[in-house]
Amino acid sequence: MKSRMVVSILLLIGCFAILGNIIYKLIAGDGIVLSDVIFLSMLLLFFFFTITWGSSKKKDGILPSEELGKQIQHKSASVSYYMIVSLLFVGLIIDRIVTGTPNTTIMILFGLSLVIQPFITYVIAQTFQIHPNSLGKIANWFIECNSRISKKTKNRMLFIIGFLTALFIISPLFETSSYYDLLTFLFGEPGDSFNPFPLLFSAVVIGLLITGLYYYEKRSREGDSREH
Amino acid sequence: MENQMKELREEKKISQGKLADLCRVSRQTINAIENNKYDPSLQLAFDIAKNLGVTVDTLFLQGGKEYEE
Repeated sequence: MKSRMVVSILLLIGCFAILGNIIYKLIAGDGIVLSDVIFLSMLLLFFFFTITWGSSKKKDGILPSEELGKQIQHKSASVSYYMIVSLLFVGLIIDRIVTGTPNTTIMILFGLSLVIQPFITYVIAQTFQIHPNSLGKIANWFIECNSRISKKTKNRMLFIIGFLTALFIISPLFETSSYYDLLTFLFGEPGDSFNPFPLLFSAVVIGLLITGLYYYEKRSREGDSREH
Repeated sequence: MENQMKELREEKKISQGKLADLCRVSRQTINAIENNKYDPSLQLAFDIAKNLGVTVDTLFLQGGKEYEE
């Protein structure tokens, strides 16, 4: 059996396991937490990525980095946008029926989702003008920086940002645990004697962030874009 | 866009996989172009034409006729 198929099946089993856990929690009356949803979404993301794209070594499918792959991604992003707008609208209606009052946050997000597409179109159109305005110049600068950075670097940056977001935003906001709890879990309750390890760990986390930003900036300056 | 890729490729006795390797794309891309499902970029069009030993206009103009002014 191909390794791609094995990975796909394992991911699918993982998805069903988490989905089962979420359904069980809902039936048992326990509220589901954001980490359940994110974990399920991540597994589904990996599953669809695995079944969609091929490998350049095994030559078993379309590559995301080649031009047909990029066109597929552009098309799917365009379709996804309309689906997300529709889902927000459906969410707005469901929330109004369930709670009796319209949800202000979803209303604002729905309004923004309608405006974002024409606004971005305006900005992108500006980048093609003979004399672009300030927005067009900023967009041009951003596109230039982005084209210099390789996919590998972008993925690394995304990983670091994801890790820090999970640690400092998602965890304290949506869960009972926080960064402080993580330190307690790793190094024990703070006692009378001075324990340097939590500080060292924090220094490593901050160092990681600074190194990542430095790496990003360096790559952006030097340019390491490699198509193949 | 219609093209003569399949005929020219078979004439040269090059498989889709081999042409895909030469152009550094997947076999699916070559297949999609041959079946008029996908129009390649200029860069890829030139790569394919070069590897098939023809010009881009021969490859993509209807009937494979060279462009004449």
